[in-house]
Amino acid sequence: MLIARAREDGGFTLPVVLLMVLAAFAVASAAVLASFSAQSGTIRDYQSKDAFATAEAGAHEAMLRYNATTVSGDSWGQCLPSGTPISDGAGWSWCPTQQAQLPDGSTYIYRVGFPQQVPGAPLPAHTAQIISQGSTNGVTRRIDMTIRSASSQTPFSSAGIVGLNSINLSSNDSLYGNSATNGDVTLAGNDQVCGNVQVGPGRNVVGGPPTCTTGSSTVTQGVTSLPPVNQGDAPTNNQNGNFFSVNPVSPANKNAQRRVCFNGRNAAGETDTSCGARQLKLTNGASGVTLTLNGGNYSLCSLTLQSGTSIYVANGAKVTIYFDAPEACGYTSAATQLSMASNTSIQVNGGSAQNMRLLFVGSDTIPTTATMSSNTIQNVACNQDFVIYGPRTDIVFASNSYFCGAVAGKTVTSNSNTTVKTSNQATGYTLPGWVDHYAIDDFRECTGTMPTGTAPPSSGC
Amino acid sequence: MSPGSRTERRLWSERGFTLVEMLIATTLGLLVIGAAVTVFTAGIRSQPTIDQRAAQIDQARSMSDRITRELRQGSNASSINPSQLMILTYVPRTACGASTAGPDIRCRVFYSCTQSGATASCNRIECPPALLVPGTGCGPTTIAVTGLTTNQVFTFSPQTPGQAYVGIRLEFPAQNGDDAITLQDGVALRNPPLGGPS
Repeated sequence: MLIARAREDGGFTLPVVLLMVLAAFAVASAAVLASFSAQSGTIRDYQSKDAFATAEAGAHEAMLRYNATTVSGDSWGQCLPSGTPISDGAGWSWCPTQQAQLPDGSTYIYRVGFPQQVPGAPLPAHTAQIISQGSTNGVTRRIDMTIRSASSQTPFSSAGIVGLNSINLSSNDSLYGNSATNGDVTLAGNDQVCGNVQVGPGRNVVGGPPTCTTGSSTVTQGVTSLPPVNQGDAPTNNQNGNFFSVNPVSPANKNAQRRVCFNGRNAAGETDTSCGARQLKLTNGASGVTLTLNGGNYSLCSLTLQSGTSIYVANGAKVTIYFDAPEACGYTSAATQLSMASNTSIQVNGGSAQNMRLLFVGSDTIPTTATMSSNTIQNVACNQDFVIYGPRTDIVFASNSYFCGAVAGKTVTSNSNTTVKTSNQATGYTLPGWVDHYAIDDFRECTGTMPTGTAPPSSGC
Repeated sequence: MSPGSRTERRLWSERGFTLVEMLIATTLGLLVIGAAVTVFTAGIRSQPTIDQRAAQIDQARSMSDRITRELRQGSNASSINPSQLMILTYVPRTACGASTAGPDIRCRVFYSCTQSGATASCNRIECPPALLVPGTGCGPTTIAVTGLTTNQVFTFSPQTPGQAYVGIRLEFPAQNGDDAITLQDGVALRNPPLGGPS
C-alpha cells in the first residue's frame, strides 16, 4: 500500500510544489527585472558612445575627402564626391547628404557646407563645416566640425622661451623676452626676468616676484600648447650626404678632419667607430675644430660638440636639423640628443636665429635632452644663436652659457649665470613641415537630429 | 453511478486529503511562504539603501556624461592636481551669463573636488572665458556629485604636444555589504588649443 501511495499523484506533493515554483518564479522575476533596470544605463551609455563615434567617422571621412586634394586646389566650395551646393539663405551653401553603413550596422550621414562669398568682398577663408550624424540601434548623436586650412604654425608668437611643464632658473640667470609654461616658473635668487611671464592656471612664479633692472615683467596665468614636430620625410630625404663635401671642416688638415665624425666615418674619409648612424660628433682638439653648414635639411640622432668645437651656418644659408625620435634611432633609454660641452657654439653668420633650427621629435616614453654646457666666452653676447624646438625634449642651459634666439621644450632649465635672450626674428619663426591641409578648427556636439528640407543642417549646433 | 475511469472515480469520490497530509502540506506551504515573505520584506527594507545607491550611481553617471561631453568639445584643459579641472568648452548660453538664447557659447568651466572625512564631493562652476580662477562674473556653484571615496578624480596628460587627454574616475565606497563601485571614463579633447600661450 505504501508503494501504491508513493506512486499516486494525490496528496500534498502537487500543492507544495506549485507554491514553491510560484515563489521561486516571483523571486527570480524580481531579480531579472532589477538586473535589466541596472543594465539599461550601461547599454544606453554604450550605444550613445557608439553613435557618437559613428558620427565622428562620418565627419572624418568628409575631411579626408577634402584633404585628398590640396586646400589651394579647386575642391574647396565643391561637393565631393559629387553634387551641387545649395544655399540655405543664411550665408552658407550645403552639399547633398552623404551616407554610409559601418560593418557593425551603425550608420552615418553627413553634409558639408561652405561660407558664401559676399558680393564685393574677397573670397572667405578656406573653411568648411561638416555636420555628421551617427545612429546605433536607434540612438542618434550629431556633431558639427569646422575645418580650416592649416598651413603654418608659429609657436613663438607670444613667447620666445616656452617650457611646457616648467621653467627652472638657478641663481644669477637672466631671461630677456616673454616666457610661458603650463607649470611654475621657479627662480633661485638674483635672477633677472625681463619680459612677461605666463604660468599655468593656479601656478606661480616660485621665488618671485620676478625682477628686472632694465624693465618690468608682468605675470599672468594661461594655458600653453606646442604642436608636435612634423619631420615629414626628412629621415630619408635630406642633405646628410653633404657631410663633409659641401659642409667642410676647418682647419682643412687630416688632424682636424679626423676629429669630425658622422655616420661611422670621419671627415678624412676613414671609418670611425666614435659615431654611429646619423650621429654627428665634433671631438675637441687643441686648434679648435669647426664645421660649416651650407644650408639644407639634416636628420640626426645626436649632435655632440666637445669642448672648443663650433658649428657655423654659412652666410645666407638656412639649416634645419631634425633630431629623429629616440625609438627610430634605436635608443631604449634616456638619450641626450644635443650635447654641447663648454666653449662650444653654434653660430649663424650674418643671418638671423631663424637660419639655424634644431627640431627635436622626441618621445612620450623615452626621455630626450638637449644640453648646452657652460661657455666661458662671456663678453661675446649671443655666441649661440638659433631656434630650438622640442616639445617632448628637456632643454638644459648649463652655467655661463649665452643663448639667443627662441627656445621651446618640455622643460627649460637654466643653471647659474646663464643668459637666454629672444629676438623678434626668432619669435616670428614658422614651423616647417606643415603642408597645406584641412585641420579641425572647431568641434561641438549638436542637439536633435539632422534637419530635413530647407533648414540649415547646422541648426541645433 | 457506474464506476468509470480512475480519474472519474477520484472526482466522484468523497475521499479527500487526510489530516496528516493537510498538516504537512500546510506546514511546508507556510515555510515556503514565510521564506518568500522574509525575502520580500528584506527587499523592501533594503530598498531605500538600493535607491540611494542607484541615485548615487545615476548622479555619477550624469556627471561623467556631462564632463566627457564638455571635454570632447573643449580645449585648453588644465588640471593643477587630480582634484581640480578647468576647461574652456561649450555650454548653453543662458547658463554662461549670455542674455539671449542661441547656440552654445564658449565658457570656462571649473570642477573642484574636496575631501571631507571619509567622503568627497565635486562642485562645478561656469565662468566667463577670460577668468582663470572663479571670481566675479561666474555663475552659481552647483554640486556635481557626492559620496565619493576620494577627491582624486581627474588624470590629465598635457605633457605631450597636441590634444590633452583627461581621465575621470569616480569611486564610491562599499556600503551595507555591497561592493565598492568605480565609474571610469576618459576623453581626448577634440578642439585644438586656442593659439599657443593664451
